Amino acid sequence: MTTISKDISVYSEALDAVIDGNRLPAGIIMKKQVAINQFEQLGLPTMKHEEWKYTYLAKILKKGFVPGLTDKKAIDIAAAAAQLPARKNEQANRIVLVDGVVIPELSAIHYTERVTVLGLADAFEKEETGALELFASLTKGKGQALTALNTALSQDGIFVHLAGNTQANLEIIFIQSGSKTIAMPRLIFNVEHGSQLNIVEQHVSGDQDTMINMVAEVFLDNDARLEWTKIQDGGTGAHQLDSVYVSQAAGSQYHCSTISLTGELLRNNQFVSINGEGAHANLGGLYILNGKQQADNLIVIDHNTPNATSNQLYKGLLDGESTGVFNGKIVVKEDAQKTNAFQSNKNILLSDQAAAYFRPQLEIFADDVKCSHGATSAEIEDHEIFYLRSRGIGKELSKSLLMFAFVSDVVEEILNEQVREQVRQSISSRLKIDF
Amino acid sequence: MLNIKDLQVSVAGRQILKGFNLQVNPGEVHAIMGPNGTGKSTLGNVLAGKDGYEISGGSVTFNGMDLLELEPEERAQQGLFLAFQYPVEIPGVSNANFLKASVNEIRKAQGLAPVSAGDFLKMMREKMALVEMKKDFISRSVNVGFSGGEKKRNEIFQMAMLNPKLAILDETDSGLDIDALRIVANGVNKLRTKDNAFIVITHYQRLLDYIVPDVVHVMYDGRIVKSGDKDLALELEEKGYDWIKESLATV
Repeated sequence: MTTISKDISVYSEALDAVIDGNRLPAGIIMKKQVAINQFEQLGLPTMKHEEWKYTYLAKILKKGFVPGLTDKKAIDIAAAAAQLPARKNEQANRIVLVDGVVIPELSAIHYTERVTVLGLADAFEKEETGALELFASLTKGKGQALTALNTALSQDGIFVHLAGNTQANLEIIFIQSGSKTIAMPRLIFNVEHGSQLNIVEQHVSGDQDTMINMVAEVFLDNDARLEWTKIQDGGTGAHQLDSVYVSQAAGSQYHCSTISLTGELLRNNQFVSINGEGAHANLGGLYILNGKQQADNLIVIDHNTPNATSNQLYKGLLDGESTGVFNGKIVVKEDAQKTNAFQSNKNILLSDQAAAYFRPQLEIFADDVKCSHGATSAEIEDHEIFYLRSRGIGKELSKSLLMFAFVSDVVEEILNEQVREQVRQSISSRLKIDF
Repeated sequence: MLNIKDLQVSVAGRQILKGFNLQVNPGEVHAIMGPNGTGKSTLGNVLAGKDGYEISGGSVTFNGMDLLELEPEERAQQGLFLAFQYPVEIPGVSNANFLKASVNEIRKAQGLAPVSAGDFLKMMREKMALVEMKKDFISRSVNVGFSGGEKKRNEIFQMAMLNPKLAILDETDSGLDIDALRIVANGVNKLRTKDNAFIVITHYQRLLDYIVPDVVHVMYDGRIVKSGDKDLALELEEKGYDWIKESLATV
């Protein structure tokens, strides 16, 4: 069998299946056809692409992942229900997707006049939502093949619209059933002036190999806020390709924390466009990896206007033969005076075979800016371990406590205490600490 | 409880303890005084099990066990506690989580069930009052942003929480003002029982006004050269360490 990347017809056939298997408006079908053409021109990224040199995508696809239609009728809702984590916040909207498709029976959505939360397929059918226009508006022309693939092959996802000066909490659960079809949910979040959207995202996928290629388009109006915590702890077989595109207007705040704990491949792309003064983007991430796990974080922040700030703080704990990549790019355009942009990546290598790669990139075209970047390799200090051991704590638990301590500043950046606590529990569980 | 016989310890090829002898019984407070560089901290570190020390001779028995055979955590689990001269800062680990792990690991080693969250909090509040710690202490990272005095008080606080059989205070008074000293000493005194014991390693006599020792030992050149009661400390303060050196030279 030829490698899937060379077999373009597989993708066109998948698009045909998606169009046939779903009721899509003409405008959406057109955008999908444009996207599949873009994908075919771009081709899947290979290791010759700078930003994919550590992720051997063609090899990963050989595990049998295929693009295609997810048959909604074939989804085992009862099995999915059994895997759902307990609700952390009864007041929040909960939206559950299985293999990239929204399952209303497992979701709990409160629709109000000012807060719209819908499956994306439903949103496409309601013209008044504006989903048709927003879809693929931020991703256009970005040259990202996997994004184009999602534009083409996504059949459902999540649409959220907050009218001005309101607030909503959303719990998103992505369940992967074990099918080898690549799930491709599309997310669109439109947060109007002065509103705040809080999202906690979780994944459930078990030990079988599964793949999800998701794309989010986020529109933050003046003074709007999005706080998004992505907990990537779904299962050892998870392969997650995640791309988020954000457009920020003046005074808006984008806070995203990516907590990468389990999964064979956790590829996270963040493309943030700061288009208004006084906006702030805060991207935090931590990856705790073992075995052959790989986390690959690409962040591109475009400062297009003056007086905005951004901050990137990513930390990695790498054991076994794992790989952690941090590729952080800051672009400050000529007019973006008084930009403050900071970036920091710290890694602790816990074994000889683990590897950390960092690639800070600064492209500064304005002359009155403050930018800094730093990447360090750290160690767990012997005298810290000894102090804990002298208090009766065994060597392994001492190391785990210090590992927890190392990433805790990333956790502390999460603004909501309940969410912070949820993340702390996931991390302590991952590190086998019983607090 | 503790029996140190002829202990010989080197660091980086240089011998520091040259035949150190000490016996401590339950209910006793021993003070060890001596000039700098004479091996006082080495003693504390070796008893606690720190790496980097070469033991070339002698033995240490703790409650019938060979202490030098035990891992640092095993020594703590058996009831040994070292209050560090320079307590370590551990950003990201809260005082509460650190102590909870510590208390429960020690209980586990003793075959006890872990302490419940409620009981633990109660215990913490009780002991915090003992060393006059502020309420926010529980959630703060271990020793981060603490003044010297607060770090030392934290050592005594931990001691109160873990209730050791033998506590070694390694120059706990160094860098403390009178108020901090008073609080630390008060904490120690409240913990004294007839079943536990203390070794107070100090450079100055001042602490011993507050923590009155049963025996005072003077350490010089890696071993104990003179022992006496609490008056020895006063004599030492008055005459200085040179007096000891001279009296040894004439022997």
